[in-house]
Amino acid sequence: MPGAPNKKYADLSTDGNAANGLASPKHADAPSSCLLASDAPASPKWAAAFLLESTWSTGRAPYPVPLMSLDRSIVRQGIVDALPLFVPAVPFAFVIGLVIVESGISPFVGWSSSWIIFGGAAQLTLISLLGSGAAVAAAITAGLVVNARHLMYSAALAPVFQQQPHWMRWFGPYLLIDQQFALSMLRADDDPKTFRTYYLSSGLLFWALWLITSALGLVVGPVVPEAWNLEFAVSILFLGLIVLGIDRYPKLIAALVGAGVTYLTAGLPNRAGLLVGAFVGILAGTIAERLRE
Amino acid sequence: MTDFLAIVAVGIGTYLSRGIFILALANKKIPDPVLVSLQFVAPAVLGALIVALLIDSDGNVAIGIPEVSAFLVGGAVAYRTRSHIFTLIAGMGVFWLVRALM
Repeated sequence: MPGAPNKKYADLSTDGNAANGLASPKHADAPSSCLLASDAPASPKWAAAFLLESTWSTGRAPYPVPLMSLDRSIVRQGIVDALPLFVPAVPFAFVIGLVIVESGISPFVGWSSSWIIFGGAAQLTLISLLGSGAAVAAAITAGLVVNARHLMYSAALAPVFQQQPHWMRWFGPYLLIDQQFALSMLRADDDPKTFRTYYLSSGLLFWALWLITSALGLVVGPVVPEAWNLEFAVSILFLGLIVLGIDRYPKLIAALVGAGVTYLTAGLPNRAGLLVGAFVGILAGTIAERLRE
Repeated sequence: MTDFLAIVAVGIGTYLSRGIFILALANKKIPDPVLVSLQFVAPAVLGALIVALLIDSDGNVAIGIPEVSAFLVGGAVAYRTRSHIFTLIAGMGVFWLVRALM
């Protein structure tokens, strides 16, 4: 963004612009450079919004507090949309709690992954592998590779986030789980303030439910007899993720080759076969896609 | 402590993967070939993980009839119902049942 010295004001004004409901369509869609304070005189209406917002925010809060002017209907919409999408995540959160108990990792440390990582597949991968005696580096790498798909989400939402204030561009990505991506892409054309309210409502709901459900799994974990082999539930859940994610045959090939190569390289130390299998699987899927085109 | 650091490492990496384009590379596009390959990360890694999680301490894959039956039934239920909960119930149910019968 040009005009670095004005950056903070630019962010404040972006917020104020929308928060006061004075955003004309032109400004809602304007590139962020148009929202710099130096461009203010170009639109008296916008300048008024900016002044209003700056007195408002110096008077009551040092920084824009979106909660002060929440549009309740949008909050409700975010919550109503998010709740059914959380249902499929419940078994994951629950199994994470159980796996933490079985892995021997301290319960609080394991549960911390729910807010430090906040991503079910990566948490399950990391904790299961750490608990099974894989090398720490291999476990970390596997966890990161599982989450590499988020790069796509980040790239897709980047233009939408350019209209958001600074703090939102930093905080928003923390909440960007799969469901959150699916919901927020449908809202990409909303004005920045509405988008933000919606995004934070659904995202924070997912986040709170995730912390609670994984903690519940942790409480139930010690009660479950070891003979039930509940760690096998992780494999079943991953199978479900694969099946539900397959929308064309190259993905099936990627999964089968990934599994097959890992099986063949199972003897490698530190479960390195996992990474070999994953890599060859990605390669196979890519080649299959090429052949398909 | 090692466990905690590992969690933090994955946490930082996850945040970066979610934030990098929003924070820093908004004007950059992912090259198309990379975008194509990224779609296969999830199925390939998950497929590899299913097997890797069954590797025992001797480096053998501990997969028997209960596991295979559970995968077949679980996969079919996932395909039919599109529900993780039913998949979990069916998969674990078959796993326990077949194990008890053997």
